[in-house]
Amino acid sequence: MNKIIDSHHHLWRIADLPWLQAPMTPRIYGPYDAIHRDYLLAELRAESAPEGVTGSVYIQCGWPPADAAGETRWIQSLADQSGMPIAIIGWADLAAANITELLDEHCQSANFRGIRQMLNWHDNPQYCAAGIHSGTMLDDAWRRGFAELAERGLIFELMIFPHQMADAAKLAREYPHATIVLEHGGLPADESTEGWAAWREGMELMAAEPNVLAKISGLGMFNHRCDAESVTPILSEMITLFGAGRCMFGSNFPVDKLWVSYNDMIAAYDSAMATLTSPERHALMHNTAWRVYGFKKLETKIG
Amino acid sequence: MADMSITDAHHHIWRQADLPWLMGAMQPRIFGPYEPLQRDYPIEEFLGDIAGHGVTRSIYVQTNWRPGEEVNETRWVQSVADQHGCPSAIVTYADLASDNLSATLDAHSESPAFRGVRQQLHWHKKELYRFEATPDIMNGAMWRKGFAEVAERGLVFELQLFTAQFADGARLAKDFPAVNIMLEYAGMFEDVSPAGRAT
Repeated sequence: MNKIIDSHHHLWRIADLPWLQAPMTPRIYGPYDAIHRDYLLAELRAESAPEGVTGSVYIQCGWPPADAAGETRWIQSLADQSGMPIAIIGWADLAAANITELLDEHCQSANFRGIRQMLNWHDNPQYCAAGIHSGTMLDDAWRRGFAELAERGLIFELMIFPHQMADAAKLAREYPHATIVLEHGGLPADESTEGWAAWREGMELMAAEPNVLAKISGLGMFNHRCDAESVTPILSEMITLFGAGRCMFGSNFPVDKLWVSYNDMIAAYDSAMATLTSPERHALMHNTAWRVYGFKKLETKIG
Repeated sequence: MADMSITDAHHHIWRQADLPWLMGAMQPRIFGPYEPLQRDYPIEEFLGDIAGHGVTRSIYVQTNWRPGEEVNETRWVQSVADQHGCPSAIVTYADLASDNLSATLDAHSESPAFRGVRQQLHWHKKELYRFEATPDIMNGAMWRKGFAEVAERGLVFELQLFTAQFADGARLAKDFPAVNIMLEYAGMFEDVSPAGRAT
């Protein structure tokens, strides 16, 4: 069995998440009663270890903003006990005036590797992230925070729709030392011919920036499926555009657990990867993620 | 430059006694006469050299300790880093074609600043410029098996090649898409004639 790193998942205790405590509201991924409960490391391990998952990357999932460092600390405590997750992506508003202190606090957790601040914006209000606007990544204050993140060698996890990719590619170009990870296959929500063309065009812009990596994850968020037929075209296109050395598998569990088991998801990826070389498959399922997330940032600082 | 931080991505420190090639009579080498280097180059001197230039981080690259001593090289540099906050990261030696590569990489990895491997592969038709006896070490099956392990561990590989080896180097990068390959010394740009530049 080949080793896998799951580059994108969540864990949660319902008591930490105001949005999960609230009555169910319409969301991108549809009804979510089935995950309206705690989702803990033991459950992730039980479903992923049999598939070969030996490491994972935790992605922030909406703790109260004031307690963002508490989220990172909780995951670090799990990692200290069990060696998983190997990396933590926390939350911060990069436009915050005290961004330096916020990042300092996250950095006290050894496995902290970067920030996700969801920037997805869409005509459909249901698809818009909270606390941002359509041009957040162009704001001076936000960019100051982004520059600081990049300066520290931390990762920025980017969740956007195709129509936002021209701005995002420009961001990547203007901060060539930043490491940007495009999440969830660039949110291919629109399955029409025009939608696919717009996605393809946006992804081409992103792939042209060498400091952008891409997660082949969460592909079923809009059509609520994950099988060979739904994964193959997106995966093939992304490997062609980015190369396997810039692509990473992620389960997006427990969200994607709403429509697929871990086992069936891996089977879908296995079929979708049938035409890839063996090093490409290893890169996509394990090696790229280990290179990107596996090492602490250089701590020692002269002077 | 004081307003910009610099990472020195390639430097050495050494104790002459660890390096057979720095002891004894001077030999003809790529970099010419080197008597001024035939001595210790300690971290204190490096810190003095970088002072005032805005260097905030540095990467140590291996210096060819005695064969079999590469893990001790890593441990020594780690001890220096623990004491001085410098270097920030360590790139050391491993023979990727060796039988005990896994054990060597495990041992290197016990030092937290360890990030990657340099195995010098440069070959040139001029004998003086040669490090390896053949230009194509990186095409060997055993060596590539070792390179797959570098890939799986997410390590950096520092690649030192002359122009004539670039095609093989590019194929290596294509065949192992996940590895960060650092081409050292600007591709060993030694032939400054117009024809040399073009290749």
